[in-house]
This record gives sequence, structure tokens and C-alpha cells, in this order.
Amino acid sequence: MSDIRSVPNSILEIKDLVVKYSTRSGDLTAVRGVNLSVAKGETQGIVGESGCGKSTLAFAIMGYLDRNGRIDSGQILLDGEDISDKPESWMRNIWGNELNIVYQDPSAALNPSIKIGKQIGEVLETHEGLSEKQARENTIDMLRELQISDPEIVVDSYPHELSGGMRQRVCLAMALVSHPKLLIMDEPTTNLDVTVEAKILDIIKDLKEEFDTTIIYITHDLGVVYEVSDRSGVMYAGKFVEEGPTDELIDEPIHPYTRGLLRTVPEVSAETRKGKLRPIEGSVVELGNLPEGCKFNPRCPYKQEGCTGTEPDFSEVTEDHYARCYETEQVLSQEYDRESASSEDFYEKDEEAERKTILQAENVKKYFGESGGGLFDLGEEDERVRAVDGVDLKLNEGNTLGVVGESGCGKSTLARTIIGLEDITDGQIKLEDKDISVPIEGRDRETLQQIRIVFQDPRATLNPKRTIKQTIMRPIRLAGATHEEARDKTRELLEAVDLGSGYMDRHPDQLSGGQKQRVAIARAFASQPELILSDEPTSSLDVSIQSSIINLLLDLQDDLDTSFLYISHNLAVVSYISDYMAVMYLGRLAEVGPTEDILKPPYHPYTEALLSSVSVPDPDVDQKRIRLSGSVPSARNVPSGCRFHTRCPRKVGEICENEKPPRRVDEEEEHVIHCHIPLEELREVKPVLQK
Amino acid sequence: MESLLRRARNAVQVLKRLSNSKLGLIGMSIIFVWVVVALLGPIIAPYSPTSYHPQDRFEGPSLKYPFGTDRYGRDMFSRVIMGSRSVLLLASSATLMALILGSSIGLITGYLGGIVDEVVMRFMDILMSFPALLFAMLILGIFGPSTFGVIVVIGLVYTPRIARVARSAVLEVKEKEFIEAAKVRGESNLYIMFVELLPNIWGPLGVEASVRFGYAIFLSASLGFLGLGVQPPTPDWGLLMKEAQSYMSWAPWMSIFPALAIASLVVAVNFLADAIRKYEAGEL
Repeated sequence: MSDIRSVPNSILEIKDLVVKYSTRSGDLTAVRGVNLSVAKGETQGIVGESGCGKSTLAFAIMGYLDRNGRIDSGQILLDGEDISDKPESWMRNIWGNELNIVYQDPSAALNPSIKIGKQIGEVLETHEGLSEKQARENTIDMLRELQISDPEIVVDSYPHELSGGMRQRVCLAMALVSHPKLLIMDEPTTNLDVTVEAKILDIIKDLKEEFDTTIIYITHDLGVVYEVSDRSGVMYAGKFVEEGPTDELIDEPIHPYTRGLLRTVPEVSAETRKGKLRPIEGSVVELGNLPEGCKFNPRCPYKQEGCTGTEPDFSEVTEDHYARCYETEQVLSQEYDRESASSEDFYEKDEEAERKTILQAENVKKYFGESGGGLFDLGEEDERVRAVDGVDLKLNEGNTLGVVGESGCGKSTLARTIIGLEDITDGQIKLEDKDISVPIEGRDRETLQQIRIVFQDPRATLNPKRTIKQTIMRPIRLAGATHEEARDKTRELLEAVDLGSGYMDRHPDQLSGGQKQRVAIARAFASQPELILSDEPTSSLDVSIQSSIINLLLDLQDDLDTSFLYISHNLAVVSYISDYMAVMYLGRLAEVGPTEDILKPPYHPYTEALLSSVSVPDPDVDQKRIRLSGSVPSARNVPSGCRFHTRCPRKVGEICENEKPPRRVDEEEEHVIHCHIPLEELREVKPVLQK
Repeated sequence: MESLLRRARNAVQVLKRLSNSKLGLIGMSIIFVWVVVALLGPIIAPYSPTSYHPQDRFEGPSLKYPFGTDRYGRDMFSRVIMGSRSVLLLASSATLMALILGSSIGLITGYLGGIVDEVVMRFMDILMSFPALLFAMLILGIFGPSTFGVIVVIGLVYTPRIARVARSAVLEVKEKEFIEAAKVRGESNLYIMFVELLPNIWGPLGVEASVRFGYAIFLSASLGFLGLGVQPPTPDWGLLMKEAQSYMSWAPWMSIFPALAIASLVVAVNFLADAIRKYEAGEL
């Protein structure tokens, strides 16, 4: 029998909940028996990877299951009343009122043709019977609580007039304005930039205090759940495998899966990457194909014989901390090593000085749109979008240059310009010694073979109508191989990315996201390029798969000495994988240099803010708290002087508004910061992250 | 050889799925019957469609003449059977032509965009704005009626619609990353359009083409009715309707049977088109 936490005044109690979906191939049980009690005012985090059932659980609680989903058995008690079998007409009274949900995509949750004030006000008018005027007042108050400046203006705006972060805050306001008993948040900050996410997490924490709202917070990000939730539960294959106070769970996890998750995520640290990441063996279990006994056993390093028998019960291991595992003693007896990179398995690198320069970008500019002077030119300013506005980069053979920045910084445009998918507006790009400052049409065959790219979305990266074999053979054939040679090489490449030759004749729809991305990597390496650009290659993959893909890339780099230009918004991953890093803001470089120099003082103020916004699931880390005001300005209307001056916490004065910041060079020409503040001052700054 | 087998197996799979729809199954069966009839025409027709039996003129349906006879005593049954050939030939050739021409235009304009897209699609708009029948009458009136003329004209009439469908399908797919990957490899535009994009737009094209096929049948019958298509004495269902026109009140069998033939085929094609649409939407 499972131990169940008893909570005196629980707002939510889930008892043995089973949720099934009916599909063409039979029933699929997405939630296989969940027990949960959440006390009033508590924030319960639910963590898991794709397919674990966390979103299904959220929808089941809300009563939002699709037509083919149903609650098969179990109860959901909201403040004592079972809502699992209530009809829609009954639920409508509590939706938007006592029970609310905030989704991942605020744009989808807001009606684009109704003003914000009206959308939020509707909740108050319907459920609390307020007059229009009163509803508007309450709305403005709530927006102000959420730190939206000028709420009177926002109330009369349409969703498209607001930034992503603002929209999410509006959704939060809409969810909170009726003081719900229970608020479910399903990955609400996943789509947001990290600096915006940090602010929203702050707001959530404040609101908890003020309104005593009970929150269920669903995410795949362990750092976020650590910041926000009092208790956390880890889901795997439709059940909780561990649940307990968040601090304890993160500090000393009991279940092997939790340990695996925490250890596999790279952490932002100033220590240069040395060893390989530790992915979790195997792949996420398929609900239609569950193993006997403990569902995690095929991937578990602590597995014993008993684990394949019957599934273990949920039991209280330490006080108020539960786990579903037979081997908790064994697990707890092993010292919990939080280092994500293993201390064995190093990558040896040759001396830096002996490497040749593969890629050089000088003052690269890419503008979109037409400069003034159109047919109806009324003497307006140049309204072009300055996506990339003067970037200098250098990348040597066998190294990885990571480019980080938030949305609108121009990193993707920079990558596309380097690879030739966009034509350059100004500046020069050189591949070894060859000038390649032209788009793809203007490049010769040889050059084209030397630069390849791995894209972000595994679902769109492969032609659905071609087999894997055809997809990989094509670039090899283009490089001059015969049919037989190409076929052999294809087999080699597939093996190199850990896919057997059985995959050759399959189509992309028969592969998982991680497998598709491996094929994409194999395809990129097919012509043996000198330089591979990766544009967020792992951001749509689960955390456990991400590590194996990163390891794969680094292994291949180790073998073939390929140079990588790695673009991402994920600071942890980029700092792990890169030898050098470039931080971009609004089309310009804020800072560039060796990774270890970027991660410790002297910092560019933007880098400092970025580092302080990342959620770190490590109780031993002290993190400075810096929050940026406002949001990223539009690239159509860039601020004068230093672009960051509108939000810079270290702004010096008028000089920042008027003059472009100088290029300050630190140590051997490698570390460059563009800032008006002198390096000596920046060096004195306390580090953002300290253990 | 291997890939041929695989393709055959895939085709069988598709047919099986299509028959999950009841209407689709009915449609496919009727079409199948007509195709067999058309192929075996001369063998199953009891008489030659053009031979006169002047003593049996204007006879109603009987055992000897299941569909009756016309004003020359020709057996309507044989004429309807043989008429299926011209209908199927005309309509399928025309649809094929529209498919080839339309998808090429759609691929090129959709992928290249820019001024090519603007200019060509405006031509397509102009072409589409002509009422089909009027346009056909105009062209065939100028160049004289002929089988080939009918095929070309019907093909031209339906090319713009297919082009539009192809173009919008291309627009959906062309921004996808595997197309960018092809560009990065330096693939030529022709390769990208016809090797990477085309296989991904079969779905909507197939749906549209099957619908057009139904229209093409009807249009070719209409042209036959107006005397602009196949010339007598070759039996064409439309032509049969024309010949039956003056005798509708007292020899109705001359018009009923060709009409039923046309209707059955068009309805069957529409059922099939609907099944294809459902298949593409994943509902089968």
C-alpha cells in the first residue's frame, strides 16, 4: 500500500487518479494512479519530461480533457468536493473563479480582438457581479500588483501591442483577479527570455505571500521549480516517483530518476568544462510499452532483481519525503555527487596557439527592410530592422564559439548570414582565407560543403517523404562520392550518431525527436565540413536526451576537429559546451571572450544580469539578484549610444545615451567588453554565482 | 524492382484505408465498373454502336435492346458502353494535364515568389474568371471541335485551380528547415521544387485533382452536348444527350440512360474525392 501524505486543510486532494486516452490502437493510460495533497497556500511543483503525464494531470484537474480523454477512476477533491465527475455546466461556475490555469503560450490564451481590460474585467463581471467600472478598477489594481507599469494604458490595449512577458503577466492577472482557490500553471515561463522569466518568478513568489494562493506549478526545469515551489513531485510514466519538500528533493534526491535528472543538466559555472555530461541511459518509456515492475528499471543504475517484479509502492523514506523505489537504501548510501560533468572522460585539446582561424567575421551587419526613400517618403527616419549591427567574431579550428542572447538580439540572423541564407548588408565574412560575404547563390561548391547547420526543430528538419538513407546520402553524393561509397559512409555516420543501420530505410515519422536530431547531426557532418552552426539544437528536446546530444557533438568534434558556432539562449548549455562565448544584445556584441572569462568578473552589465536571472537548482550556490527593468527595445528603433542603456543597472550617465561604448580589451586581446565603465571598476564587481 | 514492390504495397495500403469510408468504397466500385466497361467495350457491347437497325428505330428498352434504340435504330446500350471510353479518356487526360501544368506553376510561383509569382498568378486569375463553358466554347469555336481540343481546353480551364492549391501547399512547406537545409547544400531551385517540395504536396493536390476530375467529366459531357467535342458518329455521352434532345417527350430512354451514366460517374468521383480528403486529414 502506498503511503499517502495527510494534509489537514488541503485545498486539493487527488486520490488514485487514473486518466486514459482512447486511441485507434486501444486505450493509453497517461496517468496511472496519482495521489497528491496540497495544503492551502502551498506551491506544489510537478516536474517531468515529455510524456510523463504532468499536463494530462493538469487538464484532468481542470476538467479540460479532450474528447478522447477520460478520468477512468479516482477522485479530485477541490476544497473537499469531488470535481472529477462534475458536468461542464457545473464546472463553468468555478472555471475562472475558484479554479484557474495559466498556460505556456500567453498569445494563445488571450483573445486578439478584445482589449485587455475587457478580457480581465469579464471574469469579475461574470463571477463577482461587479459593474463595468468597478471591474476596470480592480483590473488596474491587479495589473499594478503584477508590476505592469502604466496599467491604465495596458487596460485599453490589445494583446498584440504587448510584449511576451507582459502578455504572460496579463494572463496571470486574469487568473488571479478572482482570488482562486487553486491556480495551475503549466510551464508558464518556458517560452520567455530568461530575464523576463526571472521577473515573473519573482512576481509569483510575491503573490503567493500576498494572496495565499495555492499553486500547482508544472515544469520540466528543475531550477525553476526550485525557486518557486515549496514541495515538488517528480513524475515518470504516469505516476509520481518522488515527492517531498523542494529543498530536500533538490539537495538530496532519493529516487534514481531524480538524481539522474539533476545530474544531467549542465550548470552555469566558471569552471571550464572538462568531462562528459551524464545522460540518463536509454530513452523515455513509451506509455504503450511499459516494462514490468518499476517503470524506470531499464534505465536505472541501481537496478536489482526485485525491480522487474511488481511496481514498487510510494513510500515515505524520510520525513514527509516519498519515493517509489525498492533500492532507496542503496541510493542514499551512495554519496550524491552533484557535478554534472563526470570527472573521468576528459577531452584533450591541442594548444590554442597552433590552431588556424576557420571563421572570421568583421563588422557584419544585416538590416531588414528598405531604407527611407520609398514612394511616399515623408522624410521619415530609416526604419530598417537592424538585426545585426556590427559584429566581430573569430573562431579557430576545433573550438566552439557559443553565442548567447535573448530574443531579438540577432544571434539567429547572424548565423543565417554566416551560412548564406541571408545576404549580408555590410561587413565581411571569411572562411579560412576565403571571402564568403555573399549569400548561398554566390558561393562555390567547395565553400558550401565546408559550412553546415543543425536546426532547432527536429520535426521540421528532415523531409518527411524521404528515408533516412536518402536524406544522409544526398550531401555525401553532392560531395562527389559514388552510390556505394555514399551508402557505406551513411552507415558509418549513423553509427557515429548511435543509430543502427536499421534506421536507414525508415521515415522521419518513425523516429523520436532525439533520433531525428541525431540524423540531422549526421547529415550536417556528411560532407565533412570545417564549420557547423547549431541553432538551438537541443531546446526542444528533453533534458535527458539533451545531454546525450551534447556529448555526441563533443565526441564528433574531438574526432574530426570540427569547429562549432553554437547559438542558444540557454546559458548553462552554452557555457558548458563553448570554449569561447559571445553575448549579444540588440544586434551588437556586449562581451566576447574565453568562456571562463565571460563567467567571472569583469562582466558586461548585461552578462551580469543574464547570469543572475538563470535558475540554478543548487542550494550551495549563492546567486546575486539583478533584475532588468522594462523589456528589450524594438530592433526597428534602437536606443542611441549604448543600446543597453535603457535597462542597464550600472548606467553611468549621459555618456551611455550619447556615445557608442568603447571596445575594452582584457588580457591578450581575447576578452572584449563594450562598455563605458572602465575594466578596473568592472573587475571589482562581486561574482554573480558563488559556491 | 524492390522499390516497385514497395510502391505497390503502399498503393494497396492506401486503397484499403480509402475503403474504410463507405461512400469512398461505393465511389471506387462504380468507377472501377466503368473503367472495366470502357476497357472491355467492344467485347461486352452486344452490337456495334454505329450500326443501324432501321426497322427497330425508337424502340423502348427491351430484352433485345436493354437501353432502347435511337432514331437510327442504334442500340443505346452499346452506345452508352462505348461512350464511356471517350468520357474517361477526355476527362482523365484533361485532369492529368491540369495536374502537371498546375502543379508546376504552383511550385514555381509558390517557391520563387516575387514578381514571377505576382505576374503568373494574375494570369491564372484572369483564366479563372472566364466561365468554363464559355471559355471552352470560345476556343473550340475558333479552332474547331476535336478530341484533342477538348482535352487541352478542359486542362487549361482547371489548371489555375490546381496551381492555387499547389501554391498554397508550397507556401506552407517552403519555410521548413529541411528546405533550408537543401538550400544550404546549394541545391538548385529546380531540385528543391521537384524533389524536395513536390512529394510533400501530393496530399492537397490529390484532393483537388480528384474533385477536378469530377468537374472534367461533366464539362466534357457538356461540350459534347454542344457539339464541340467528339464528333458523331463516335458515341459520347454528351453527344447522346444532344441527339436525344428533340425526342425527349416520346423517346425518353434516349436521354435517361446517358444521363444516368454521367450522373453515376460524377457522383462516384465525388465520393472518391471526399474519401481522399478524409484520408489526407487522417480521418481514415
